[in-house]
Amino acid sequence: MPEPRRSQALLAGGLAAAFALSAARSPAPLAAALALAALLFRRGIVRQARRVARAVLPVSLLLAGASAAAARLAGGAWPDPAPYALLVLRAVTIALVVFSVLARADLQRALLPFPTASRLLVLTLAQVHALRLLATDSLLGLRSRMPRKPGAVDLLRGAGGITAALLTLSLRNARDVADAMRSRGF
Amino acid sequence: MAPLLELSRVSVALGARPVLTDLSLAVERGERVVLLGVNGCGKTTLLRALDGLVFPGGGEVRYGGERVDAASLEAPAFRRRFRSDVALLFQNVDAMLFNPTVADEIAFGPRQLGLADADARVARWAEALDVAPFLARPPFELSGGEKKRVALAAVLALHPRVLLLDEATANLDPASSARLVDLLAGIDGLTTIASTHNLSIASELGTRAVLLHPRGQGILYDGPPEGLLGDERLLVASGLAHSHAHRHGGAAHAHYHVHDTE
Amino acid sequence: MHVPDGFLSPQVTLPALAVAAPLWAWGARRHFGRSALDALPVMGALTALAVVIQTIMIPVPGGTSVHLVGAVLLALLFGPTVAFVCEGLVLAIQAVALGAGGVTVLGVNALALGLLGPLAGWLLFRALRAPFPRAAAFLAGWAGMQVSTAAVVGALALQHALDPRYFPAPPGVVAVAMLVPSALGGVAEGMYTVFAMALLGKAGVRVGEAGGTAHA
Repeated sequence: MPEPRRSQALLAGGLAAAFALSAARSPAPLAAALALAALLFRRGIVRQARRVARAVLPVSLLLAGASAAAARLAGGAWPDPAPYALLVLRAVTIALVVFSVLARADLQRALLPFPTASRLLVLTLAQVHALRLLATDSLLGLRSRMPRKPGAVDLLRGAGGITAALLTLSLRNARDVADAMRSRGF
Repeated sequence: MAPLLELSRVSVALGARPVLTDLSLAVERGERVVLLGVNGCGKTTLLRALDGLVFPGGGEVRYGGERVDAASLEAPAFRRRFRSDVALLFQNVDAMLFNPTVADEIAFGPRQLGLADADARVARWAEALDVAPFLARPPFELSGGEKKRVALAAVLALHPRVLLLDEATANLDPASSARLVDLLAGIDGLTTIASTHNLSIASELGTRAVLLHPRGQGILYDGPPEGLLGDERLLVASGLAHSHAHRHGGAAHAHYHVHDTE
Repeated sequence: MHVPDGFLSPQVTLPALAVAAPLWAWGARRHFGRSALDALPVMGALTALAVVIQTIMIPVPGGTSVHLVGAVLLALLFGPTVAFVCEGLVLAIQAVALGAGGVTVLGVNALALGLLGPLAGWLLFRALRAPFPRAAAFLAGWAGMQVSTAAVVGALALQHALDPRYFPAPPGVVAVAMLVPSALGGVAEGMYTVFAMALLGKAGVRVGEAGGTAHA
């Protein structure tokens, strides 16, 4: 399937799958989805699984575990673990499917027929790129100016300062971008 | 015949601050003008006024004899003609790159103007600026020099008659600078107005040097670059050179000299 | 704190999207103007700013670190509508372009973190700024975060009420599990808000109408 159709189909399919899986109330559909994902997306599945383990698993386990422990403290007995396990399984499955789809879809290509959305995404990502460089440099500058390792308050103050610089820069960039667009006939 | 591009007694203020005051400049077809002046003297504002991005509070800007102002740029026919004939390469190149891929970036101008051969232009100018390997990549991922070449390809793809360049050689190494100058020199019939604060490349960027007052209050010199480079008084008055104490081979003295600020 | 995918069923996430999406579109049109030329660069700029702020991690005593959010700051500078539009975009971009997940719960997160929290912070700031500007900024940052978290807790409580087998943790438990860390993290956000507002005042950034801003 040629682009942008291919990416659009992938993204639409992934989104639909995410919503469908979010309605799952038993392990069977989730297990099936995991098996299907392992098959369809086997290239790179390990990396996506690692990302899920890093990003989604801790939060889900923490919330589930804390809730279970608190329910035990309140009720005097461990609650039924099944719904908690299902919760974590659901979160992990959806994350794996979504990450795998996003790794394969070209978002910008998919958005090409929608110039406003496309341009907004590009403008934002380009600015993120530029601002991040400035932010990293500023934080390094902060570290190099301090005799001791910066503590939380120093970093917060530094972050406040960086924000002012980033805001000024980003708004000036925005004005320049608007002018550049106008200059080329937009 | 009317000059190709003309400022008549133009004054521009940004907010409350006057940036350009009572400036007049006429540029003829085919001229290669280098606009000189210290940082902050108003070169960028002048170029933006010439590109119809900033409108003067006093005086007027004319292209081919026709007024360039907010009202005239509302007319679709004139706007299309002006935007395709006059192009500006911004100093902040990042601001010029707002399309998903380099190919889209170069094609943006021609497509906006409804030109049918946008793809052919992309191929031609990507080749000329040596950015063809990057056509599928997002511009903001490229290095500074590569971005500049993409931006240049994007404006040249409009096939402009007038190319305005704001500090075009800033952040370019000498080899790339030279390539840029050669490229522009090779385009027949192109009128260029290039601003710089770097005197050492002034004579390469143009055959007519226009020196702007340090606070935009007029033009201090308008003539061949060689004439300006030998005029000590003018260089000091414009802020492009200064006198301070330094040593040559053991003897301490003071005389004026130019700092290459590239 | 965000809600991850899988913690809320379509019964909650779809209505949230149905509310958030038109509200977002209305906010975008109203505060950024109809002209794409004026709107897109500024929207992109502020959204990018928020994205970068949210990558800043502050190590706190105890060994963990907290993320800054900046949504309340945007509200204090540009109003709650701008904050909602930009924060909504931040969440969407983080979900699809930056690999953070949260696609089904986008509506819920946008309403909680983009609308309710910043709105609360903004109202608090307006009430307190005249007598106590620094305290107002701190409280706005702190309280905004708590309101955001409380909204997330509320969504999870609703889910629990609708189907306890789907989300088994009772609301009281969830509230403690989320609001306590949020109260601590909110201290960092509050302080950050104070520092940023102080410096932005000095830099001469003035809050303008309609998404634009005039500055020296």
